[in-house]
Amino acid sequence: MFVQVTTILIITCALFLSFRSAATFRKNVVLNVTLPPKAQGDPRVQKIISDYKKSNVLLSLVSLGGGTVILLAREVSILLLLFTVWVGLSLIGGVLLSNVYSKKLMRLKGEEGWWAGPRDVVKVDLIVSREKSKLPLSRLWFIPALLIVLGLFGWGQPAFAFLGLGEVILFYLLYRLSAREPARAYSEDSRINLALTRVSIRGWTLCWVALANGHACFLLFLALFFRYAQGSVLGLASFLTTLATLFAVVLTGSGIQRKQNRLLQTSGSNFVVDEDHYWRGLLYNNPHDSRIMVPKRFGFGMTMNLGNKKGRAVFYGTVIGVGVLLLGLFFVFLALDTSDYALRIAETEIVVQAPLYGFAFATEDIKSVSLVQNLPRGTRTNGAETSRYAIGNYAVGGYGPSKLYVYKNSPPYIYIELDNLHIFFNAKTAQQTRDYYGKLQEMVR
Amino acid sequence: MLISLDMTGEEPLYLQLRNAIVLAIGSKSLQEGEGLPSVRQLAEDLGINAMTVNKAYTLLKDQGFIEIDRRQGAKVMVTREAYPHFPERWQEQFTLLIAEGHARGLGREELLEMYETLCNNLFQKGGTD
Repeated sequence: MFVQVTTILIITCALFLSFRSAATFRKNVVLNVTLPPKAQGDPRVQKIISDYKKSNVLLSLVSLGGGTVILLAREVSILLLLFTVWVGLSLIGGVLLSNVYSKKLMRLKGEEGWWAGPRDVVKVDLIVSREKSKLPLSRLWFIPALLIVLGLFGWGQPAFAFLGLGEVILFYLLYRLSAREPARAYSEDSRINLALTRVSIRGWTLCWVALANGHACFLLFLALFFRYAQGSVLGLASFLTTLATLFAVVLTGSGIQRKQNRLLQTSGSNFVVDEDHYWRGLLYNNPHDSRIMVPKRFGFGMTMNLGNKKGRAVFYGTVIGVGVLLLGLFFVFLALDTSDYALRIAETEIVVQAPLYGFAFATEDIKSVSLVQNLPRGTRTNGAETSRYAIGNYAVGGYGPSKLYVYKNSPPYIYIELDNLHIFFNAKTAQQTRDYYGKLQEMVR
Repeated sequence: MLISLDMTGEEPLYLQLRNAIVLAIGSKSLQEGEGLPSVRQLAEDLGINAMTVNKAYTLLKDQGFIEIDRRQGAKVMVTREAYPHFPERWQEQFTLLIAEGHARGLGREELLEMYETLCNNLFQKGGTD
């Protein structure tokens, strides 16, 4: 329950901050609309911005209220479904809301003729383009993180090591992306352009390097002190790391934006490039731009360019990939949540019928069978567990490696002892469990 | 030093790029010996094909504005030997521009005045002459 509540709060906050950032001027863009400097202080513009801010607060409260529905879910499949729908609706709500105010502002811009600069013109600073490769933090800073990961492999901690390797690769890809930020010009003054690009490239590459090393160190720490860590400890740890990572990214993004705005204010010879016609809400479609990814105009991170083939492929690939993944997870959990465990007892073989973790063993391997009233405590090594059921491979205290197929709140449980393996099983009702137990006893005798 | 490319303009992109760099060299925004971005880098920043940038660089080289070194990349190096057509070609183009202005109704005085102003603007940009 704690994790659900915190996740809902964090996602609401993240969406709130992300959509609120649309109300702050970023390189002359507010609410997804480019405005020339003379228009930025106009009271009508300010009114639209403050109205949007208020609506955004309201939307976040509504979304938070809707989120409480998720807490009612008892099954993982339902939880996943409600959660996906809730995030989707909150996101769509935010986009639609920002679009409403964006259109209002666009209409005002059209009426006033506040077109900023010529269309379809790309401005690049030659000096920035030349000096850019010197701006990012050296990629050698990834070496410590890589060494730690290799150390984890050598030390025989493959789970932590693979996780660490994946993270280092992910952060390195993000580093590459940030290091190659385009040298667009925002001022006539090359020094200002260079400073703007330096702030951004330095900030982001530092962020990714720090995160890669931080994550690697944290994994090392976990591997050292929680060698036999329980699932819940690891779950909490990964939850906290995700939180810290999000915090670092948001902090970096807002820090860079603040510094860039300050730099632009000190420079007198700024100009505005109007790219509004390439944007539809959060989507960017510019066939004149060969970049696959471009920085978003609000919120944090990048978005795909739907104007070229690669960008479209990545965009639809991601959408379909995430969709398939979510659908797959949903069906897996649905199978786990709804199925009944059954025992098929034959002369020579006994089959435990259960989703994903089905198991069969020879009747003659059974050392003993008994009925227990209380389930001993155990930690999950590979399986699924909710407050209602536990299924899969567990390390059970006092027994060792075990397979569990139990409904937690309907004792008794059948305990079957095999060579080096223990099985705990029950059916949904005590009567069914006793029936199975009777049959098993006959077989063993 | 800015480069503006009009993506929907009539003039081909490589020519726009060539002109922008000549303008920068002529106004001393780019000094003799100063480096240019690599072809790949500039193409990535402008969001255009690397072949387009390459075409512009090759043209600049052939016309004696830059030098392309395999290791160090391109740098500004204005040489007369590389472009023996100067000043004849340039005079032809200049004459054509004057004729166009005159045909559209600009008198001798106005043309000279305009020439003066344009020269001042250009040399002011780079700060030195």
